[in-house]
Amino acid sequence: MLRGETASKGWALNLTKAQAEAPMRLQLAYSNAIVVAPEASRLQLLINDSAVIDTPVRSADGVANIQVDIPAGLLRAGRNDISLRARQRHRTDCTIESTYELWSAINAAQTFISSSDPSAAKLTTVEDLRTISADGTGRATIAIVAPGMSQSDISADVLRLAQAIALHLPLPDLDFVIDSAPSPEQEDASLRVFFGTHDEIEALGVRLPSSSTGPVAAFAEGQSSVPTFVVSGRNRSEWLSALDEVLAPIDRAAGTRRDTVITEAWHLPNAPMVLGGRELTFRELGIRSESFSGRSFSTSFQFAVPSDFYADSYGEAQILLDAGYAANVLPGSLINVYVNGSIAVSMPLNDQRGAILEQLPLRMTMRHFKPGLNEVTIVANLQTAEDEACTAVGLSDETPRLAIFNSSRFVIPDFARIGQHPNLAALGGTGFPYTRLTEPLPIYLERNDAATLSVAADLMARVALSAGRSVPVTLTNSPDALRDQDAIFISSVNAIPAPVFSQVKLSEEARTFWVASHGGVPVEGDATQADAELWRQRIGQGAWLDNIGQWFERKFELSLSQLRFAPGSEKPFVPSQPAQLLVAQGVNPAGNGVWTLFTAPDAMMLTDGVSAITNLPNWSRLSGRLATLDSDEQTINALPAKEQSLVLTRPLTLNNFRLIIANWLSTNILSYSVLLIFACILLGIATSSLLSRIGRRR
Amino acid sequence: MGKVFVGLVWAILAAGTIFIVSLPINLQTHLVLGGIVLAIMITMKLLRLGGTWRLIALALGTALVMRYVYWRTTSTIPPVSQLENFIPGLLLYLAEMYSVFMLFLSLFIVAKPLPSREARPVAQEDLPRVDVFIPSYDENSSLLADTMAAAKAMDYPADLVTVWLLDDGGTVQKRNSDDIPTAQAAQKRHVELQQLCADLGVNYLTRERNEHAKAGNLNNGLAHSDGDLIAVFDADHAPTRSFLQETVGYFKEDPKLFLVQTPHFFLNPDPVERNLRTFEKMPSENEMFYGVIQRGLDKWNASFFCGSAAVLSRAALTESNGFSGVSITEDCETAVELHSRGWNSVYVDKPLIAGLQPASFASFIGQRSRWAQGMMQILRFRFPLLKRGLTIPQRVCYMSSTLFWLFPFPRIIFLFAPLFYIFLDLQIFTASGGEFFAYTLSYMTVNLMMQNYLYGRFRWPWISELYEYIQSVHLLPAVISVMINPRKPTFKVTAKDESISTSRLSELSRPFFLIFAVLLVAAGVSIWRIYSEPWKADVTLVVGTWNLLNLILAGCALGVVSERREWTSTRRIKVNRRCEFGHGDSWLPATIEDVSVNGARVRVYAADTEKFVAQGESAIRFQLLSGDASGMLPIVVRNQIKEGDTFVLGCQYMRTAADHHRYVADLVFANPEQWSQFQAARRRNPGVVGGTIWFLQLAFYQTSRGITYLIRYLRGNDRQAAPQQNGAKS
Repeated sequence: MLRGETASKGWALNLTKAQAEAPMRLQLAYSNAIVVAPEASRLQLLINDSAVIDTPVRSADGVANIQVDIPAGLLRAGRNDISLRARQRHRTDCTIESTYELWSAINAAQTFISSSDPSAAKLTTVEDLRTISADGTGRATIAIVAPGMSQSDISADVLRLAQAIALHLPLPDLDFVIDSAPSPEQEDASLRVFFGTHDEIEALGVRLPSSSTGPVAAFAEGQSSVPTFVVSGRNRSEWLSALDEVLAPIDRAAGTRRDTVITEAWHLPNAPMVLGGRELTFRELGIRSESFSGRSFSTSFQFAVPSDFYADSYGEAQILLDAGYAANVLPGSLINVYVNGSIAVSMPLNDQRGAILEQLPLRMTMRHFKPGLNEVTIVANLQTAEDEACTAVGLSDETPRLAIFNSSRFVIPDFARIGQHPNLAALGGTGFPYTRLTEPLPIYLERNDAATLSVAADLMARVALSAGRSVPVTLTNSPDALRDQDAIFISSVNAIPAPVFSQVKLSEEARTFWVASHGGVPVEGDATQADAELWRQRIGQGAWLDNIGQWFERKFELSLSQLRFAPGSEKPFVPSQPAQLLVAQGVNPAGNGVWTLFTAPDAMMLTDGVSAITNLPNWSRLSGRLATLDSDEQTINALPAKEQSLVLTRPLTLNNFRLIIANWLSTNILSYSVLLIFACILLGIATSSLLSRIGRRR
Repeated sequence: MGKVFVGLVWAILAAGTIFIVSLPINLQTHLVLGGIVLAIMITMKLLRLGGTWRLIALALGTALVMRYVYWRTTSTIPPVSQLENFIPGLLLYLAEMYSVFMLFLSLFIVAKPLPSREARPVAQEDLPRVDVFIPSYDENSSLLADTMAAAKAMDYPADLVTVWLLDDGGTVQKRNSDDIPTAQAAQKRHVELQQLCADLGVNYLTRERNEHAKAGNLNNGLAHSDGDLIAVFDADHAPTRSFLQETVGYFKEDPKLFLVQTPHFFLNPDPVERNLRTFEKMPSENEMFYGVIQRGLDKWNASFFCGSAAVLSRAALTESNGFSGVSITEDCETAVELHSRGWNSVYVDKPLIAGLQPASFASFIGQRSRWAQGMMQILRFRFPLLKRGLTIPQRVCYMSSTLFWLFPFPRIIFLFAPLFYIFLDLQIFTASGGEFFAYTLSYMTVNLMMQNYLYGRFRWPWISELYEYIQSVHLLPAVISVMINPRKPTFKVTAKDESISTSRLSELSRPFFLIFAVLLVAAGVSIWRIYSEPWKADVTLVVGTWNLLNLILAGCALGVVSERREWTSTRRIKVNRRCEFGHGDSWLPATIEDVSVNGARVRVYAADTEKFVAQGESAIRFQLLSGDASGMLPIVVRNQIKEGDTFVLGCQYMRTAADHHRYVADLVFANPEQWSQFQAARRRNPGVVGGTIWFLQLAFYQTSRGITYLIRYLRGNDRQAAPQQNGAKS
């Protein structure tokens, strides 16, 4: 979906050598809003920076298909950059609001590249895994067939395999289906993986690649249309080494630094990992220098911060903007910067003569930064007198109003770094704290069957992608052994071991209440209380004291509830409809590790829920100590963590210590005042005592 | 040992506080802190907590100021890439940092001022011999006679005290001047003063040439005398009877003592006090210095010589070859020199002299220019921070005293900074409206509170700003010129005895009206911009408010430069003293109700008083404080009011003989308590809020008065008259 007057999307497409060399045909299917003026709007598709398609946007009344032959030599083996750019203008309106009505939608199911050459479709080595792409709905289903599952416990190995496949296929929506035997449903998958001994796999009718004496990790000649990948060996140790072979090119040792977060499957360039004070030019962040002649300009970039980011309360980042705007831009026009969808700074463009902005600092709070991927969007709303008159509607006026240059810089200062338990945002962002483990991570499953394992595979694949490495796991069904360990619990609510409730501060009432609420039985809620609150707000607006409070809240984003000395205590949470899935985190009973619980009223909802929550857009919105996903599979409600324990993730330096304290005190506002006043009292007493000892006394 | 330990603890606590202050906390946390700290300081103030509580309050205030400095330094300076913003922005920043730096220096000095000292009585047989120097340049003989008479009347054995009139107006050089009228005047003066001195029992001394101005004159006195101690009084500074009793005792106590300084108390208002009519109700400008700062300096053994009303040790002066004369403020310079040689000073916080200060705005500015230039010269030639022999606290104290005079720079910058935004649309201070509110407002409030904490009874809110502003306009060029040409300024004697015979604009008033007009236009423009550019109304509002404060100050200054007519140059002092009124053998019982150096108000308790008055010549007779004798002072009755059976007479003294000067001195100057009482009556702390409201009213009224004077002047009704000189200089 490309929205607004200017939009672009870029991603990487991986091709095998055979595919790159074969003649390829591109089909693009799109439709657009009826208000888009075709004569002033264009849609472009670029491959490796050459325009392959450049067309007016004129498909308001249905899906238009455009087919072109990709010029020979343009595609290359390995990574190819694809980008879509849209420039859209409104037919009848010149207001900024009207630009929100502009969209073009790409029909994914009918947009693909294809080749008439059958040999091009042939996949062979581990590297070719990258070329697997998602289906028309954007989802990639991966079927893992592990015949050995029925005889011995190889679940941990299967989970490891799922992570390995995921790291080769870093797609936003991966769905794993694990089974011990092939089934017809697997024919719809994007990839099928066979995992076991040669004998077991051959018994299923899979032809292993030529020389199958040792470990094998390669594509098999497929009998079906689904690419078939085989990881096998003559015995367990051999297929384990085959698994290692799959992992080797993409895994990362625990504790090594990560320079980028791989996003190329849906966003280019990959997001740089910012570990401390750092400056990034817009060029590095993939923003082009651009002149813009419309009303509402928008561009964005991604970056990542580590899991132990702890500067959400005090920190300020900066954009040093190189830009210019024309004299016809009216005062009141704005450049707004959004961080993860929340506004962070708004800069008025007030100079009536236009202006050249050189490295103009836009200071923005780091409140909305979160561990892992972050997106910064820069939006410029440009009003002009011509737009107010609106005479040349739909005509293309090419006089630029705004230019943004890629020499602009994004500056992040040194920030406090300390791990926080619990913090689901860190799990969602980088898989913290499980990515740092050297020991296998215990996973508690309600049952040890294929369906439950599929859920765990979905989850661990996503954790591995967030972490950028595979996390060794072990399965367990004894919560007592996990007292002093990190662990993940995946279970429907009725099967959760009792100690977990208290650790993640989930009320045991959830067992009855939540299930009942989904069973359609009407439940007593806090409706009256909520109503009262609503009424109080509506009526109370006239009150004098409230007005002052509201003014403070508006002006300083400061409310009475923030005036606290220390974090409050957590109350056990009771989920209810429409929450379908609940993710909760807490420290383990020994206090030295983190337990994360994934639960739902029943096994069905758990499967669907986990599959939905591991979808990247949902996954990256996890935060707080507890989050629920509603049955619409996109509404996430998070409960902020009050009691967090801070855990050192690196040796404490004085500067880091100072920044950590700054953040803690900026969160617990009154404590700062108390601390400083206390220090001043001591200092006053010491001064008094010192002054009566030095200098003259009478 | 204990000292070192406490010092160490203090240093650790200070470092810890700085650590906490410099944490990069967010805006909300600072806002809450600001609110809480101000609330605590207000509470402590209302509860009148002193002692250690006072220091805690100051520590709190300092912490908030330091947080402002941290924020101001890290977040508000415009980027270097925008030079047009950066350069004025940096200047403004430096001006603010100077103010904060000076605040910290004064905090050090007045953290714990010494309490007033007890007098040190000395046994009669141990009393040292004292030479009293009264340097004069061109003051008239009547004024000198009062001062000399008061000096002679000091309570001290007559054989141990010698009073010297050091006349620089009758030097050989002057008497032989090529300018005949000058030469004649000098000769006449020479003769007249010699006679007067002879009558009063004072030694007259003059010299060949007027070299090295006042310092040279005093050194000439040193060369011709041999007392152990030297008391110095300016020609118009008449001492009380107890002056020597209160001061010489300290020299006995400390052989390394070179100075006992006492406050200067003035009988007449300075131009600000006169034109704003605050003399009777508000503490004088110099009371902050003599009431708090000198006591603070005294704690660090850094109280310095102020040119008059002090006793110095001859031994010390001999060591430094007399009074230093490199700078035009020889007093402070001499003190730096002697402090650096290991001599000590003492400050006695009790007014023991009464004198005059410049009455017209022009002379006032002339006097301040001399001080400012002299202090700059000391900074240049004796740089106290690196001067060998001074203790560290003394270095800090002298740096504070000299650097103070750089105030014209920041004051002018604060005045013009808002105009950069209002007229030129430059953003020299990058902050949002909210940040301004949280940081700048809390800083300004805490600054006012701290000033009030430190100087409350001695300096009312906004008065420092007013004095700084009215001086800055003319002092800035003076300070710049001494920086460029440090040896150029010469000692100019300040005229202190003018009286303003017509209401008129000061000859220095033009720039003030000009500045006021510019600020007024700026205020208009800022209002216009609030409406015409609503998208930046919040910043315009903040800057406009700042400009408005400047405008209020500038408006008040218009009143200062609009000189009010006033006949009497000195104020009347309330006394209650028995006397008799009459002549010949007929005397009526009466009381003296108030006195000034020119006359007295006498209440006579008799119905037939009129008859006496009608006869034209009469006198008052009263018991002298300086002995058992009584004095008879001839008077002329200028007016009379009948109140029941009593008559209230306004009398003018008719001084014809030397003794008459002694009687006047006895009436007016002898009693030290009356000066203390007069000061105490004005020393009232109106509080930050009360003081601010009062100042606003004052400023509003004075603005209108200034404009009225201007209109009258423009209509040509104004009869410009030069100030009349009566003859006192210092």
